[in-house]
Amino acid sequence: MIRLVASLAVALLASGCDVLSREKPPPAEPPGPPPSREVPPEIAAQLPTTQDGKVLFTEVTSGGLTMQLAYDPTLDDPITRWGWCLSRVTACVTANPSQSIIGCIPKIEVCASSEGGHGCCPSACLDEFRQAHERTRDDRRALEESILTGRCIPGFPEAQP
Amino acid sequence: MSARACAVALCLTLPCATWAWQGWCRSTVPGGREALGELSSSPLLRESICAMKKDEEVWPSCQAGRRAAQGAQLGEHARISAEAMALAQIPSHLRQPVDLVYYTTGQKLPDISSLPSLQPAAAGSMRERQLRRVYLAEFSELPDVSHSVSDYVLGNERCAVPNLRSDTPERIDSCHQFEGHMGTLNASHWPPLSKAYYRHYHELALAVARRCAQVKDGLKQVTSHTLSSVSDSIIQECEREALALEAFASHFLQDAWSTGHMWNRWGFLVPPESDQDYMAGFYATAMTGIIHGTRSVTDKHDQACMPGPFDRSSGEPIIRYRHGSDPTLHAGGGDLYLESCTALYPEWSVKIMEQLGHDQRAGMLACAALGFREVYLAGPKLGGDVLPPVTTGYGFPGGMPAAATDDVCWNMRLTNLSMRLSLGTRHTVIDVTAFDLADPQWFAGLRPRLLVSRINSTGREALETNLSDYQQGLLAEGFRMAAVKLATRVILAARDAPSETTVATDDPELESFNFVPRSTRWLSDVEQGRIPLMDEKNRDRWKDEPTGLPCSFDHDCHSGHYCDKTLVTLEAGRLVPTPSCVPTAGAVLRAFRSGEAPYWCKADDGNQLARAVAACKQHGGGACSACQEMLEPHLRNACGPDDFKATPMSGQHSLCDLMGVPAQPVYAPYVPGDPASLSRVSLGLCTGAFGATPLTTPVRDGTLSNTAPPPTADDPHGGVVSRTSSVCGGKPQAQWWRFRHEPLTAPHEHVYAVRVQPDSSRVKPRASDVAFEMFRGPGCAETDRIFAPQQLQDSDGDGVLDTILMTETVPAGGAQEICLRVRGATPETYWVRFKFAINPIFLSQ
Repeated sequence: MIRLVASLAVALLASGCDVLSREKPPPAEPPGPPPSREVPPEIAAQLPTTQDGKVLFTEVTSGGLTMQLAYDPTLDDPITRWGWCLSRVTACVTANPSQSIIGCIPKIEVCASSEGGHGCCPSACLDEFRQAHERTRDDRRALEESILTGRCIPGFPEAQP
Repeated sequence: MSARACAVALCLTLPCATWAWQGWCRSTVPGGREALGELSSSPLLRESICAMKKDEEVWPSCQAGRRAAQGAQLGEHARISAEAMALAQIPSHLRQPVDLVYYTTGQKLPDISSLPSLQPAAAGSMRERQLRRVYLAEFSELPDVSHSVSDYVLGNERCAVPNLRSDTPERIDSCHQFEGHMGTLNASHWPPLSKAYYRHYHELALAVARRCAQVKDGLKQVTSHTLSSVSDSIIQECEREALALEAFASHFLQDAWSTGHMWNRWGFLVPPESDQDYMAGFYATAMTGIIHGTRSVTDKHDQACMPGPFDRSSGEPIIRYRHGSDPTLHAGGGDLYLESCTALYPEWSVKIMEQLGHDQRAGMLACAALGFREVYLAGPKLGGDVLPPVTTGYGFPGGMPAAATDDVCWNMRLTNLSMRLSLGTRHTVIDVTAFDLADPQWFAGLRPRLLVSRINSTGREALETNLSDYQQGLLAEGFRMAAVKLATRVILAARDAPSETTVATDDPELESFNFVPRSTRWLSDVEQGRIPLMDEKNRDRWKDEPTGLPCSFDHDCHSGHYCDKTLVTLEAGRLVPTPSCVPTAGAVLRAFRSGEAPYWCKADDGNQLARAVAACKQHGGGACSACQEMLEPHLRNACGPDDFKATPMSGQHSLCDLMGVPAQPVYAPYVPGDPASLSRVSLGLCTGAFGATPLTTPVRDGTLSNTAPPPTADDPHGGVVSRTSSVCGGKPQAQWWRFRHEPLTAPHEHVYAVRVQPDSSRVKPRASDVAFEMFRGPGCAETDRIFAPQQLQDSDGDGVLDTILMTETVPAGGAQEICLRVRGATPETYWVRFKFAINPIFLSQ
C-alpha cells in the first residue's frame, strides 16, 4: 500500500498536477460487467477444443506448421492482466459511444493487487491514463501513452510489437 | 483434431481454402465442361459455387497443388469473370471452352501414376500432345491455385518460390497449398498490392494483345489459303493468351471488391529468409484470417465478407465501405457470398443485395468488364472491331471510370466500424449469441501453440528446431500483445470515427502487426517487377533460354527460374538430358506456342529444329507432330535459296517471313493452297523422308536434269530404261527420254509401259505427283504429243505406280523416234525410280 501511495505521488508530481485541482470527471456510463474468465459455455459448446480441452479460437496451417490459438482461462501473466485491464477500458468505450471515457475510468474496478487481476485494473494504470488524458484530452492518445504501453503492469515485457 | 472440431473450428486446413472470392477446383464436372455452357449464366457453375464442402460426390474438390492444376476452376471468380466478359460483350467464341495445346514429355507424375505431367517440354522432349480445355474465365481462379500463370501452365509441378525447398512431391504440393505457403504469401490479394498485381498482369495482357494485332496486320499479306489457316490459328491463340492473362489479372481486381479484402493487411510476398520473420508472418496471417473470416473451411458465417446484418434483429446490412474520401457508404459483401447459397440466410448474398439497391456487384462487374474490353480492343479483334461501352448502375464517385485501373475501381476500404465488427464478432456462433472476440481479454488469454503439421516436408521444418523455446515464446507473447493492442485501437477508432477508413488504410499505430509491416511496404517492389513469384513484367524479356546453370531441383535455380529436366542436347545424333535452370516465363511461351509464333520463329534455331527432328526419328508419334508444328512456320515454299523469291507476292514466304521475324528458313516446296501438302512436307522433313540433314540445307539433292529431249536415243529393246531422281517443285521440272526404234522387218506389237517405284527410305510420290507424256517424231515437239498427260495408278495397292501408256502395232520398215516426258505435277519433293519399257515384262527387271 505504501508503495502504491508513493508511486501515485511520484506520478502526480511528475505530471505537474495538483491533485486538489483535478477536474471532476464528466458524467459517464459505467462499463458493463466484466466477462467471465471462462468462455461462455454456450459458445464453448460450439467451438472445437484442443487435446487438453482448451477452446480453440482459430488454427492456421502454413509452412509445414500448424498454429493453434487456444484460449486458456487459467493463464495468468502480465500480458493477461494487461488484457484484463484493457477489457475494462474498452468496456468503457462501448458504454460511452459518443463521449470520452475519462468519466468512466473511475468506475473501473481497481485491482486489489498492483499486479492486476481479472475484471479490474491496477490503480497505476488508471492513474497513468488520467494523467495522459489530461495532457492529450484524447481517449486514443491517452491510451497509447499509458495503458497500451504496458508500463503500469509489473513484469510486462519490455520488447513488444 | 476431432471430426467435430473440423466441422466447426475456425481452422484453415482443408483443401481449397482460400481468402478470395472463393475458388472451387473440381476434379470432375458432371457432364463434362461442355455441360456448363455459358458460364455467366450457367446453373451448373452456380451449383459448384454453392456446393462448398457438401456434395463432394457430385462436385469432388481437387486437392491443392498439382491436382488443382489439372482440375476445373469453378468458383466465384470464374463466375465474376464470365459475367464481366458478357457485360463487356466480348465475342462469344472467347467465352466458350478453349484448348490449351502444347507438348509434354508424356510422363506421369512421379507419385501419382494416374495423372500426366502437364509441364510443357523443351524441344527434343516434346512427345505427347497435351490438351487442356478451359474457359478463359477459369484463369481468374488461378491466383489462389498457382503462384503465377507460368506456375499454372507448369502444372504446379515446379516450385520457383525463393527460400523454399522443392526436392519432394510433397514439398512441391505444399508450395502451392493455401495451408502450405500460399496463405502466408497472399498479401497480394489485398490492397494496395492487389492493384499493383492487376496492373502488372493487365499490362502483360495488353502487350500480348498489341503484339497479336501486329501479327494479324503482318499476316494480312497471306493470300495463300495454305498459310492463312495456320496464321488464323496463330492469331486466335494469341488473342486467347491475352485474355487469359487479363482473366488472371482480374482476380486481383475482383478481390479488391470483396469486403473481406478492403483493408491493407500485414504480410509478406515471398517467404522471408529468417525463420523468425517467417513465423512472425505466420502470426500476421492468423490475424488476417480472424478479420477476413473463414467460411471457406468452416461453413460458418464470416463477418467481413458477410453482407447480412450484424445481428438478426437488425434489418440493415452493416458491413460498409467507402471509395477513398467520398462520403457515400456502400453496403457490401465478399468471399462466399456472391450467390445466394445458404439456406439459413438466403438474402445475405451480394447478388440479392443488388436487388435491394446495394449495387456493389454491378460496380465490380463494370470495372472487371473495362479490363477485358481494353485488352480485347487492343488485340486482333477477331470477333469484330467494335464493342459497345460498358455501362452500369453503380454509383461510382465522379461517374463511370474510363479504365479498370482508375482509382475508383480500387479505393474501396472498410469503415472503421466494419473493421471492428470483422475483428470481433464471430458468426460461427451468432445463432447462440454474439461473441465479441475483440474484447482484449480473449486475445490476452490465448496460448499460441505450434504443432508440426501433417505436411512436414516443406523445407521449413527446420523452424521447429531452429527456433528456441525462448524465441517461440517471444513470438507468442508478441502475438498476444499485438492482438490486444489491435483490438483496443480498432474499438476506439470505430467509436470515434465509425465512417472513416483509417483502420483499413493508414492508422499509424496499425502499420505493423507483431513486427510484420502492412504489405504496403512491398508496393514499389511489385510495381517494379521485383517479386520473383510473378511472371516477368516486361513481355519483351520473356524467353525460354536455359541459363546453363545445371540443376537437380528448382531451389538450385535463381529467382524466377525453375529446373527444367526436359532440356536435351544433341550429341552425335543422340539426345542427351541436360537439366538446367530456365526462366519461368518460358513455360508460358511453350504452352502458347502457336500464339507465341513470333517468339518461336526467332528461338527455334537450327539446333532446336535438329533436336525436334532427332526426337521424331527416335520416338515417332507425338514427337513427330511436335516437330511438324515447330517447323511449319519456318517453311519456305522453294527448293532452296536460289529458288526463293523474297517478294511478298511470290507465295514462297514462310509464316516467320510474313510476320517480319528473322528466322531460320527451311526450304521444301509444297502445293500452294493445300494445307495437307504443307502438313505432309513438314512431317516429311521431321521424319527424315527428304534426307536433308541438317534441315537448314535445302532438301533438293538433284532434280530432273534433262529439260529437253536428249540428242541421243536409247534403245528400249535392250531392256528397261530407268532413272532415279528427286523432283523438287517451285519451278517446272521434267525429265526426258528419247528412244529410237530401228526399222522393223515385220509389224510388231508394242506396249509402252511405265512404272514408278518409290525410294524405300524417302518420300514416295502419289499418283497425282507425276505425269507422263509421249511424243512421236524426230523433234518430239509439243505438237507431236500422242496423248495428254497421263497419271499413274497404284492398282495393286503396293505403293508401286504403273500404267500402260499405249499399245500400238508398229508397222515394218522405217525407224521411229519416241520421246517420253515425265513431269512433276505438284511441287512437292519425292524420290522415285522411273522405269520405261516397250514390253511391260521388262519392268520387273
